[in-house]
Amino acid sequence: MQRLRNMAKSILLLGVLLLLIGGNIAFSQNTGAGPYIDSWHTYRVVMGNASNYYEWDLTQVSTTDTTHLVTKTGGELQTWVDNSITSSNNDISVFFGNANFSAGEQWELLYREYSSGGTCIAARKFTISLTENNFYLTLAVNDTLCKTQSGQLFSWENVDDEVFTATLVYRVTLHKEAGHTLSSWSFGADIDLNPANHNYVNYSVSVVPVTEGTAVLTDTPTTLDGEFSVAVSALTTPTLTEVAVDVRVDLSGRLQDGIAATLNLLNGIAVSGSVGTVITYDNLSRPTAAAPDNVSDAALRDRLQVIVLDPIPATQNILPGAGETATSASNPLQYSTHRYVVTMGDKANNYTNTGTGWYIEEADGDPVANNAANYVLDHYGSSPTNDTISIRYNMAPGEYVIYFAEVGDNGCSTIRSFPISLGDPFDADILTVADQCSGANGVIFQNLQDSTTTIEYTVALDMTYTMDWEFGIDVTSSTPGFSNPDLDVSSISILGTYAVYTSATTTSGTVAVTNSTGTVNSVTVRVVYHGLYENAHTITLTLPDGTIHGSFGETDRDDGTTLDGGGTEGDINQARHIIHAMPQAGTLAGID
Amino acid sequence: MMKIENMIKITSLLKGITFFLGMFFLSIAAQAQTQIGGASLPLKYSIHRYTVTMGSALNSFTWAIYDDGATRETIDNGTSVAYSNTTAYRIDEAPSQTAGVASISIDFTGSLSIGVAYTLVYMEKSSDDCYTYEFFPFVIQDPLDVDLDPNGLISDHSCPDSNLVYLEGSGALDIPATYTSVDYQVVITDPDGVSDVYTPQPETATNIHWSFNFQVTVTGVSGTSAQITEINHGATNLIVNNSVYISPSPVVVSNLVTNYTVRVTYRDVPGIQQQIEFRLTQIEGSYQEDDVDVMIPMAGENEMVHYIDRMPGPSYIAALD
Repeated sequence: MQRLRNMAKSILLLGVLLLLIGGNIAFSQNTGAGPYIDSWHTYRVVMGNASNYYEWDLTQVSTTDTTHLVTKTGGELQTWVDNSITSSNNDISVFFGNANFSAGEQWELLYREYSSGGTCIAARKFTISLTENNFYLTLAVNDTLCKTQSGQLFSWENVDDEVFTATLVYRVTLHKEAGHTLSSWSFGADIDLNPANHNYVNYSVSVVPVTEGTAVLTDTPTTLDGEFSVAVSALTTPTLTEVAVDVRVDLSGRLQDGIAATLNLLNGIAVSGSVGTVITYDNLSRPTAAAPDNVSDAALRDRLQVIVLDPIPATQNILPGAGETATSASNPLQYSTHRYVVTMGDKANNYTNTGTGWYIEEADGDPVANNAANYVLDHYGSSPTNDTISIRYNMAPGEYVIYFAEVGDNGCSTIRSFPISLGDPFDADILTVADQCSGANGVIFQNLQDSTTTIEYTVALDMTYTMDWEFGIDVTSSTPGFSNPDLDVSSISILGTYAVYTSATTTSGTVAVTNSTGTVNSVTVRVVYHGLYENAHTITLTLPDGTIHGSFGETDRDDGTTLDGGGTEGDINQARHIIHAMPQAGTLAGID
Repeated sequence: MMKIENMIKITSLLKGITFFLGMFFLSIAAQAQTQIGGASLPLKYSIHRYTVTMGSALNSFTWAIYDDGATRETIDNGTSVAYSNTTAYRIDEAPSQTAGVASISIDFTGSLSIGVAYTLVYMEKSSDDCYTYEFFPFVIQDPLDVDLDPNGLISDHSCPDSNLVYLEGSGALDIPATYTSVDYQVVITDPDGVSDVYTPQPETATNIHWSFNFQVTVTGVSGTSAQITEINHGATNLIVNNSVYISPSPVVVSNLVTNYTVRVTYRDVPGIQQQIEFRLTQIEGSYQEDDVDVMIPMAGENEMVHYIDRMPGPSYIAALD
């Protein structure tokens, strides 16, 4: 009879096996019969009589290794055992920790229940084949990041004492066997900030891919102290072998403050079982025993990942350089040179880093190539903290932005800007002067004598300019030139008080115009000639090339343009007029 | 019921020599193995049939039993007195003759003593009153004694077979069905307690059996009675599934087998002590011998009561996966 029963049992088992193979079904993993190392499993026996004396043992097959687990009177004899009786259900939970068990071992869970007189003993057993724990969690490798504001344009005033939110993302990946069907999984988190210069703002979690369940973060007992726990629901696709949870930690702090944020992943647990609860701990020997992932403290079941959040340089704003005003620096003229200065976050270390430096873009963001046709950038002066430059603007007038980028040794960068409006070039012109007779014209003299002729030339700016400016003067005459007694220059002077003439020769000199008020847009130059005016003279007054300047080394727009070269009188730097010859009448004398 | 006919060719010569030589040899053979129960060594309470080929079927004849040593002369002169066939023994089948063969069937239930030599005397008288005497000596042997578990192998109280046997299920919380088998030895014992092995002599070449009947009753002491699931003995395998079993016909056992085992299998009832009564009935040898314990009632020899004590009935261990 017993033999028949055994035969029937064997046939049934074979049938089930063939069904499973044929159906390509993943075999269940981490069952009570094949528990993972480091897992809790619960076994039950329905007692014949709940008042009977009973004993639980565990014995390793083929050895003499027997461990007494529980007796009714002695209770739990091992710390890794939990025994309870509810109604007639006698449940024993066993933790197959790696300290006491190894994969590949076969054990038998033994139960004995004694009759009330103790003479007859019902005995039961359950064979257990311990298997390798293929459940483990991994973290990403340690990472170093710049703050997300790196490379973004800010004004120093907007960042100096302000705090910004930075989000750190730790990816916790679950690895398991296809046949290890989870009802949930969870882990604890303890984040350490070093230095403590940031504050927690928020935590959040999400499952990756999002279709594989939901994750819930519990921030207890103290909120936003860096300690929380995460519980993840069952996988939508139970046979998936990997699923991840992204843990987002929002921190607030200044951009120029860096921090190392360490996530300690504690007590990774997989929960399975459809009737009872099977708890399996993260196998810290995985992915491989030789290279466990991020394990810092096996006793604490701690894996950790460090994310370093690098600071960005504390670069201050671009300011007008020496000799500049805010207006002049912001409103340069084409062909002028202006100075700018910036106080760097760390000039000593960052000055030579690739990416540190100045550049110009058009207002719409198009870069302006750094060449002489566009601009010439030079450094001037010396400072341990400041970078000082001059820019000679040669590009077309328009709206531009000067940028300064400072790149730290960590690769994180700060960008500051200085918008400019590049105006038309400096333009001072001599207005037209009419031909005319000399000052002796119509004057009654008793005899032929020397007389003076005064001519005023107006040099006017064909633009708005609010700074001092200057120009040179050179007066020439056509043949026979200036000579005495024919025609010669007596003096050159300036009308008014805002300009000062400094002579170089009797026919040339320079004029410096004081224009702090921004209203001195023209200067009258008075030239006094004298002579007998024997010949007609074509007088040319020229503002020589290179002599016309504003306060910032401007080059006059009409430099190189002459009347003989086709320039339009009155709109360039030359004026030409004739002082006609006078009849050389003799002395009117009485004959008698 | 079988009868073995013994053809007796007895002569006076045999009476004096053959009988005593035979007894001598039998006596000697009994040191290794005594085969008894035949016509010359009938067991008490057995029935034997004796025959003689008559000189003439027309003659008359009588049968009588005398003490050993009786002769024609002592019989004739009244020195030897025949035993009463109502008190010393019984006539099972009255003397008769068929085709010139006279016969008598004697039931050795009576006052004839065990171990004492007697002689069966056949006397045939012709029509002219001439007598012929034939003698058949015999010694009555101890009666058949079939006992139940004479060696006391079955304890009064025992645990079920699954006691301390670790049972493993398929993972469900089922209560395992357990069975307990008890071997009841039915043994022909040597009633005088001398021989180690006691083998009854077959009556004939074909009648070589002894037999008995039995009945088993199992009763739950404080609850459900167990079921007798199987009974196995010899080549017999019975499915019973009842708490009571009464064998419908005797169990026939070869004379060569004096220790016969009846195995009874019970389905255990967890937590309930079971009282089992096993009783032998209708014990009979080849020569219709009656069991001594029946003839001289002796309690506890052909029946027994024992208990299978209660044992807890926990389920199999199952993992709560």
